Amino acid sequence: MCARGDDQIAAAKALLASSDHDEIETGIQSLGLIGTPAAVAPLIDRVRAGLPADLLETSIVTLMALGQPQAAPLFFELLEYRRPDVRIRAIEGIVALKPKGAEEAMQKLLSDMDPRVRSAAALALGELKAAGSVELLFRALDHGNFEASQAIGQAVRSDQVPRLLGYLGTIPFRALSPAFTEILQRKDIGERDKLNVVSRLQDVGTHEVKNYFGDVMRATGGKLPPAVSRAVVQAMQEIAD
Amino acid sequence: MVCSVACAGTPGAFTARYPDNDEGDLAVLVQRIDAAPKRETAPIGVGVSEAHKVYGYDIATRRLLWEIPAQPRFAPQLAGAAVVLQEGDRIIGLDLKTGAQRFQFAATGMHLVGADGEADGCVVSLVSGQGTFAKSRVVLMRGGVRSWSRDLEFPVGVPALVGSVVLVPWSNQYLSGLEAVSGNEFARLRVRDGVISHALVSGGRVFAGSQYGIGVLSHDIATANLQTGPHYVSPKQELPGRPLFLRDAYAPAPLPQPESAENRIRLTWQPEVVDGKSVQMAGGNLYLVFYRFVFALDANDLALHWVYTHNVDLVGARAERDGLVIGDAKGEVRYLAAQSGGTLWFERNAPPSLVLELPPEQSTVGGNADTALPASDVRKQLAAAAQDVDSRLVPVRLLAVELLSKLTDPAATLDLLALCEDERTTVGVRKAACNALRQRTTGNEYVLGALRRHAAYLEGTAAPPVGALAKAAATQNETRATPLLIAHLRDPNTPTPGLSELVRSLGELKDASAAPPLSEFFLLYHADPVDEHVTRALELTPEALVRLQGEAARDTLSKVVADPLSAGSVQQSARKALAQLDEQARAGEKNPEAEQLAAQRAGEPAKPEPARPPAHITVDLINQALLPVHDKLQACLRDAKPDAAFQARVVLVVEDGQVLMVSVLPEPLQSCIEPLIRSQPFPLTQLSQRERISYVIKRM
Repeated sequence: MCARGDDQIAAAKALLASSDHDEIETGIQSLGLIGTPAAVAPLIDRVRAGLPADLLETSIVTLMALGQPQAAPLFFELLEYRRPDVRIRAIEGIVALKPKGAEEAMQKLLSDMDPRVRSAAALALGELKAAGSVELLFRALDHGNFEASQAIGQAVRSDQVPRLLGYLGTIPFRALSPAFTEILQRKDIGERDKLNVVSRLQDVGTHEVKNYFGDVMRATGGKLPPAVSRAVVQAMQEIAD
Repeated sequence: MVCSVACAGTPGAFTARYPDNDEGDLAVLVQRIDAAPKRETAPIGVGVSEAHKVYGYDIATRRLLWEIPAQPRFAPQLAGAAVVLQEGDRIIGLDLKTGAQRFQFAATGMHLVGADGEADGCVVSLVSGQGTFAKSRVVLMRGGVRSWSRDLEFPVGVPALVGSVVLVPWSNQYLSGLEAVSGNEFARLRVRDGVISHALVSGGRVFAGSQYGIGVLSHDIATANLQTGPHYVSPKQELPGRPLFLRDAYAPAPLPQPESAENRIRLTWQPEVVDGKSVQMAGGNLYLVFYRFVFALDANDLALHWVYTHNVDLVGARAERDGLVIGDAKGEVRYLAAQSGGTLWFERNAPPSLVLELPPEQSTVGGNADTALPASDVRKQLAAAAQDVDSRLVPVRLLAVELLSKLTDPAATLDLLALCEDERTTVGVRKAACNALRQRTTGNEYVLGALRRHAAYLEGTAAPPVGALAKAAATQNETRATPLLIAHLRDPNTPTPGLSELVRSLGELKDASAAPPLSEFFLLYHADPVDEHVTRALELTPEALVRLQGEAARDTLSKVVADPLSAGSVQQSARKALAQLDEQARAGEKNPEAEQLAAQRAGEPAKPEPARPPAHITVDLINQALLPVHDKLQACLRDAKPDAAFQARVVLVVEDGQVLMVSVLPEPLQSCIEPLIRSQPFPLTQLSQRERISYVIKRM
């Protein structure tokens, strides 16, 4: 089995070394199908040797599918690639592997000049539950990176929730709502804080908030704490149509 | 009276048969003008106000003397005790002190060219038509009475009245001496080395000359050469707005209209004869006035002495012995010290004006108590001038950038950097500043400091102008810049347009530590060049790698040459570099000593004197740029189908050394000639403006 795997790797490597675009693509896909840690190194080498944009993307997707931590250094390198799409793919790869240094790397990308990369970095920090990045995420939110809101919702501590509520009325509600959805669902946030969120949203009292509460109830499927559920339902009833 | 003059058979003036350059006549002329009493010029200027009034302003007492309604067609002329102006078809003389009318006469379809005067005498020249169709008239007035009038069938210049002599320049080369009493010509000079369009009196000396310079009327004129005796040649360098040293009196409209911008762009100077040998300008200054700016330039080499910036347009300026009097559009009159540009006095009591003609030769308008400004202040003045947001001032802002670039003060590098990265400023000024920055040999720390900065959204920082800074670092041979440049090469937030210059500079810096990251960059992007700027950077990388690594670059280059997925031009450039290495290897095998010597030379720091970029792309520069493909271009003409072409007309659009467009006629030659032209680099120009040039390739 091991010898067979080696043969497969060798065959894939031969394809990667081809001068034909399609054969290289086949080589990348073969390594993805092999699925073993040994498939990672040849792919990394091939990316570093330089590939056209489409093959580069295929390689990154394959590496993500392989899910091997050896790919992390390459993903870090690709965070500096000059195509924003590649940087976004690299962010996804890092989020999937959660290697050491991921949070710092994503923090840096909150300052990327491409808005899509900044958004992806913010979402990644949320995925990483990067509590140490909340302050920076608030700064990103201040600078119009609305995806930072959801990340804040995922990473924020209880005592920081009032600060998030302070944004109500200052930025569009639809940009803030993902953060509240996250907070209402989090188990590590206390019931009192969640009730406070519902109460503050009820104070806003817009049709948009009423619809949002409806969406939350549908999305959570009754998984909210009973007191919070009751408060949401009551708020929906009390907000005029 | 007329009969008595004509019947007596006097030659009158300006006749075709009159002998020129008669030594005896010229000696008498010089003797008489030398014997003339020194002229006293009243300290009174004359202006045209926005309310269409002509007014007199005394700069000694700093007050408005008089104001009368008038509709002058041209800027009024100071002429002794009179002011001469043209209203419609009338020439009008006003009393300088009172504004009262002294004389008027019909211009008979002519227009005013110039006037001059002493005491109650006033000579006026008029012209209609141009060149061989010109008809001119010279009139001498005494008080309110016409003494005489002389017509000539040639264009006339600006005359001067010197004691008992009237000097009249005419027909470009002639200067006639006329008896002030009779108007009869008694001497005629024809110069062989220039143009005479003006006769003028300054500091007790009489000068003749034109926009190209002036010479003293001395006994040396017997050689018919204005440059034999004391003289001054005006600078040939083009100045913003192209103001002439002396206005062109033979131009179709020799005098500007009161509203003309010409009144706000001018050169003013006061000549002095030093030791009887040379003509110099008072204070050493040639003052360039450009709307709101005054540049005091060295009269010989145009080096900057100081800059003065005013808040509104300057409509009048006159160089004096110890300074410069200026008048602005809002009615302020100010006196600037010759040595520093510092204000000696100012008054705001003249009417808002369109033009103000100020009197020369004033020494009672304020002593020079100021000392020269320290150099740093000159730098600040220049930087402020270059940053001015007034869109009319672009030419003078470009001059400020040029002068800034000549300063050795390291802080000038910072000023140029600020201009280079100011996206709100005019593109031409920004590009000129970036080009100047590239040539800086001082201010290394500012270059390094700027390179440390990276674009970061949350920090609100933008990437510096990496290309220009990289080139500056290379010019300064500043190897400390290498890691900073590499950081920018890797940083995706550093805009790609600067990368090609960055790569080239890394090669020039010859810091071997740049080779590995440069190789990584080359390999990573050779098959995915991202955009045209990265492509250009990749094309330049092989050459840089060869400079940095020599033979060791072969491995990286070979990989790219062998990869069929490489971008075409990148692969070609790698192949070329490999061929170069092969050639070097062969040459080294043949002559190891030569190789050693070449290696030694390559290791020596290059210290080329940075050449000043040309102002514009010229045909000569195109010839030079196309020299490497000369034979191939000739082959295009020779092998043209169906018949060989005699010549090809090419229109090029070039910007920043790059050919943006090539259009070739006859059209069948386009496919052959265009790639050859595009393959060649063109020089950067000072202004970095997009230029359209026509060029003819002739078959040889």
